Amino acid sequence: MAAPTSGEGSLLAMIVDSDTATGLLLTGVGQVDIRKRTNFLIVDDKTSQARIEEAFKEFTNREDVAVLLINQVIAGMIRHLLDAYNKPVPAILEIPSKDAPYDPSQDSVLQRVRFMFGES
Amino acid sequence: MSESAFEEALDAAQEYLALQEALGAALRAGFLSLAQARYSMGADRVSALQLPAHMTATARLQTDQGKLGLVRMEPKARLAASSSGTSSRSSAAGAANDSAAASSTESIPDSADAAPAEDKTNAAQAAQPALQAAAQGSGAQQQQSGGEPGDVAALLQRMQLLAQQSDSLVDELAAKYCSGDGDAKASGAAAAPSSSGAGGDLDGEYEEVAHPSRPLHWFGSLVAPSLRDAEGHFCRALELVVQAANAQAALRRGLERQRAAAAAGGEAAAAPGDGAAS
Repeated sequence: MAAPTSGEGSLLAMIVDSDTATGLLLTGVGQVDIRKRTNFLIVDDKTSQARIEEAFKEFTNREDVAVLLINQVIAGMIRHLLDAYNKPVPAILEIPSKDAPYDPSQDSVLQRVRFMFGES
Repeated sequence: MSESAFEEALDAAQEYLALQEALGAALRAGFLSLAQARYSMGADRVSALQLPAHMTATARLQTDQGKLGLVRMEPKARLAASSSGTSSRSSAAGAANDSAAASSTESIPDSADAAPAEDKTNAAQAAQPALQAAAQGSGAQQQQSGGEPGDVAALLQRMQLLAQQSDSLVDELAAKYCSGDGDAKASGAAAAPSSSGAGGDLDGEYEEVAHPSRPLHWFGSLVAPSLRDAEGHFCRALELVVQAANAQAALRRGLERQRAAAAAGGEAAAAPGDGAAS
């Protein structure tokens, strides 16, 4: 696992659709190293669920990733992995896509809040 | 304690929701600008097809006192294989040539910018005797091994210096007119040939073309204003992402404290019951 070099900072990983990836890569968060290892996965109609799950596990196990962005529609495809995810780093942030707005009722973090307050 | 943890968790949840709403608004504006850019520039020119095969993240995250912060890094100056090949030839020519090349890049006056060139011109005038001495020294070294090759070596050295000068001028002009931060990047670009002449980094050996410094220029040197607007909207969205990540971390901590407080309260409630039974 690649650890962040001192002074360089951590990366922001993404599992998003093409439009979101194009926009966020404009900000300079994209990283493709010599070994063709990327910090983003562009999901389209041909991307399988297994590939998304593989990318999620890879990004959450990398030491140089601090935040993982994922479109909420794509997060719904691997909801079982997000619900089972308990590590503080990297933080998983569900963001809206061009076609689907943000739905708080589907956010895994807010579901935990609702469950906790309902339990207490 | 459980009430304070409950309040903290509620405040963090409210902040998280507010940031998600602001993030959604910024992303919507960015998507709209991106669509306008696609309409004016063409769908293929503004798509994932334009992404380079190799890129380095200039926007990174750093942790400061438990909170994430966005850090912008200067993109590394990347040169074409031809300039890296030239620099490798200059390094292979010997230590005298390296020192002469290094001093020559400082001594060559910068004709692109008049104001920053004053210091460089003064350095050029001061370094020219050193340059001539180095050239004569390298020529003398060549003459010790063979008489005629001394002139050839001096001529080769002058050609290498001219090649490096042209590379530095091209880089400075490109940095000035293509990126918009002319002064900062011109000074950085002027130092780039000497850094690549010293050996370069691993990335430079594998590059075939020069990479632009800003991701905006992946889509062409002249881009639509709507694409620049999209860049601004997505930069704003990135800042909101970082804030939302911090709010989410605070929410997680509040939930953990609430869970711990609830567990402690449950144990305390069970203990008097056990004592009464005994």
